[in-house]
Amino acid sequence: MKRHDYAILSLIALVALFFGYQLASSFGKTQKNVTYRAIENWSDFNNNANTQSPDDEDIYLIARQWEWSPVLELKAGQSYLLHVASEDIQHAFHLEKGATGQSIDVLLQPKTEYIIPLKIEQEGQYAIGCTQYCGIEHNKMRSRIIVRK
Amino acid sequence: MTLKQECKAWTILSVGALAIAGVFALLLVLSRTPYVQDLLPWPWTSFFHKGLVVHVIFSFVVWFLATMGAVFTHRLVKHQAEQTFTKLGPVSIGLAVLGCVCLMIPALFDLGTAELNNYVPVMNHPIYYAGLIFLFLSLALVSLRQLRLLDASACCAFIYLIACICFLLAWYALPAELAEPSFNEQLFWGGGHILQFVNTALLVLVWSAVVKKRLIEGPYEWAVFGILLVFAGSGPFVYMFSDILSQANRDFYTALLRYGLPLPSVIASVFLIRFLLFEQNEHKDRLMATALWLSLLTYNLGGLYGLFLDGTDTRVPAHYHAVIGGINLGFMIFYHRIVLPFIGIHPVNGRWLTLQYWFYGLGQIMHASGMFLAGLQGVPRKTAGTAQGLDNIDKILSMGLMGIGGLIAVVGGVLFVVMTLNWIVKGGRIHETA
Repeated sequence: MKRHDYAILSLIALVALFFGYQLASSFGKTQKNVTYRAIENWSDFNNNANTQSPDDEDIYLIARQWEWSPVLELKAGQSYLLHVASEDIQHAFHLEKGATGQSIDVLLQPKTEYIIPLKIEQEGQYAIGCTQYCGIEHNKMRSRIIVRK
Repeated sequence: MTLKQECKAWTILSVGALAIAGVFALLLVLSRTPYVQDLLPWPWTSFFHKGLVVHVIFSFVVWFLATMGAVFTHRLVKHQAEQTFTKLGPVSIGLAVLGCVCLMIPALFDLGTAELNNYVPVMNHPIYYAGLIFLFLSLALVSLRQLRLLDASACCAFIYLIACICFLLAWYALPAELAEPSFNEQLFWGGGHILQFVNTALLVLVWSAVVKKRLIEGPYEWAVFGILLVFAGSGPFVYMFSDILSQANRDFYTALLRYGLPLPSVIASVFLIRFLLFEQNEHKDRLMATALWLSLLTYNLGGLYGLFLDGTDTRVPAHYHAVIGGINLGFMIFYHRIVLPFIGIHPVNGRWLTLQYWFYGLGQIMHASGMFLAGLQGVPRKTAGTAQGLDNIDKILSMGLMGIGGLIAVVGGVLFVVMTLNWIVKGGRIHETA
């Protein structure tokens, strides 16, 4: 081995260590500010989802094979607490990066309510999807959040 | 059975797997064709998803694993005479063939239900699971044999065994009452990610084999395979520190690919570029250089696309189609330049052989790039018709590029299967001389 080989190999080792550190430090880190709790009464959650309006601070979204319900309509610049829950099996809520500047991806355990702070500044339509395989029609499980002025 | 015959058997199994995948792709098209679909002996509505499972498992899992068998056997010959008898050969090949038959039965006899989960799609039927066990066990035996070489291929074999351990740990940890889609997804999630380390290691092994010299100098080769091994080795431990159904478990494996694969891939690619640009080699001809350049380019393009993933748009398939395409090109030239001559078959150099690589390579690049551009504009993956939301000319052009590229790549893939199987069939038997 020549002298420059030692230098290059040392650099490779440093980069590998850095990546290893990044991997280890990412372990167990959940999405920022997301909290969760078990749902004791599902019909209450369902009622909240069916009777909400864009003026409410708390908004509700239900995941089930293979749809999101209801289609959310929000006001641009308003702060919300998004309550998401799965009615049947594991799903994952994914909101595209364009909505808040950072993509949101939360794994949903059945009958557990996940509370996600949400504020979208720009009006428009933002795609939401399921990123956890949930059955043969998993890829059709898409919807959107409509944000108006 | 000699090692040479075992190598031939793995070759037939791997290329045959692509042929079976092609037949099922044709059946899938027929099952969606009005009037023709009614002539099929199966209920076409349920056959579509089952046929899709068989197509994916043969074109991806069986093809890759059987090629691993060929790579390992060929490597073993370097340490032992090619006429060395192997008791393990017939057992592992027999198990793999039995596994492949079991993998097809549920689709052909309309048994169970299909799941298109990540990495190893399944059919919820005991025969299919038995097929997977036979297949994975077969390659586990071959991998155990490879360990004694204590070289780069042994590293690859060890990573494969780690993937198998992850499958077993997941199976042990999963609650039996879990819904089938979640069960199958989690069963293959961890091990499936580790298999991507195996695929990367295999690509580096075939690149090295094709150039017929030590592509990566000693310490750098150990760096490449050592990094792959250390990162993959963390896989099983995650089951001890996190609930298998938790977000921590799920996200760790995604991060494992992000942090574990780029560095070994970059090092190996730099050495291949150095070889292609600067080194004179008696074996380096135009076809080999073309195939290696295309493999290098397609694979790294896929890696680059992987840096821009976000959720559920077509950037995700763009990433993995390009990566898999790059690996496939490496496998193709490995068969044509190394394995076929080794088993006594000499591919005919000519226009069609060269065209096959250009078709497959450029087709995959166009296909993946079209998907990537469409994904940047938010086109959702795995959708058709109005669900794609192709509401502007950029999206339409991107998806058009994807479609045309896909067709060209299919032509390249079909040419590979037809030509290679034709040469193998005409090549005749390998007689046991030892």
